[in-house]
Amino acid sequence: MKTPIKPKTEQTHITTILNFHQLRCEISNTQMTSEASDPPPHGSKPSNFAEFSSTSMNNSILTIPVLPAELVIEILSRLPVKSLLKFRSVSKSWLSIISRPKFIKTHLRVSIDNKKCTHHRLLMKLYWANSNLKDCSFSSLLYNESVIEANDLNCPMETPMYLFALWVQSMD
Amino acid sequence: MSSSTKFLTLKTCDDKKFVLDEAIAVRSQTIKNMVEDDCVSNVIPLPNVDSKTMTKVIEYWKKHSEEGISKDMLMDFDKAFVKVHHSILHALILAANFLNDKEMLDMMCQEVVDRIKGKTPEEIRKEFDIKNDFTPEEEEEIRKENAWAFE
Repeated sequence: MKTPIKPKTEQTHITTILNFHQLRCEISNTQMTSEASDPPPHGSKPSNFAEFSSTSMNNSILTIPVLPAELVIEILSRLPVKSLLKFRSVSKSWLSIISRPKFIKTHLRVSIDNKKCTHHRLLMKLYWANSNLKDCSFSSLLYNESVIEANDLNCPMETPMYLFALWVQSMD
Repeated sequence: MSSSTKFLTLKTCDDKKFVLDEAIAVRSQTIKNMVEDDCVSNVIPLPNVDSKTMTKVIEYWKKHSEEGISKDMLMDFDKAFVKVHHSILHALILAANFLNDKEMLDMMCQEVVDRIKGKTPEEIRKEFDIKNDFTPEEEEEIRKENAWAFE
């Protein structure tokens, strides 16, 4: 289910972050030193939580820490299929990650373990109701007590079926 | 607190020190392993985490270690906690991964997922600071393969 970085790979992984962080920290050290020697410009304390607020961003925190491949995989494996297909064109490395059979397996495992089934849909068709194929969110059946939205799918089905229900992974 | 409460001193990469109750600090599996293996002397160096990020991590750990705190209150706290600029979110993910706090790592990764799933490849590149290394023709080709995903 949750896929923390395996102990085996942790060492190399940490080394990657270490290198990156060393660079980052060198930069932030420089900033810290200059802050320490001068009084804070607006009387703010360096450790103030407000610094993290999204409304008080300044240029110094806009440097985006680069996530190592392991963590990018961790994030991508939780995305719906539709987003993944879109993100194949982000870069060559993302395309390569998303296309790997190993990643596809990981993604499937994460989807199955998703307790709230947010990426799962249910397709239904009733024999006696001369209805179209219906589609609804699986999680809404499990967690919503109120009205559940089912969409008609424009998919003609000639073969009579007594009850047709299929649990599929969402594409949206 | 009883007299047996032990404190650990954590030192971030920018030489800031944080004194923290050991019971809270061991939410980090990395620190827990160090404590269990008796590798802890006076100060635990955290060469991969800066003080700004660590302040935020400790804020999270303390809240999640509060006695008698309700699930609802924690949910509210978590919701507010993840509302940060994505550069901080990434820094927290790196820290949670290094400190090996799976609960926090999961929450942060999920927040990134919720933010990016509806975005375009261009927006993703900006968010992750990724250079587009496709030629326009290559990009067009890949997009065509799954054109419906862009609808």
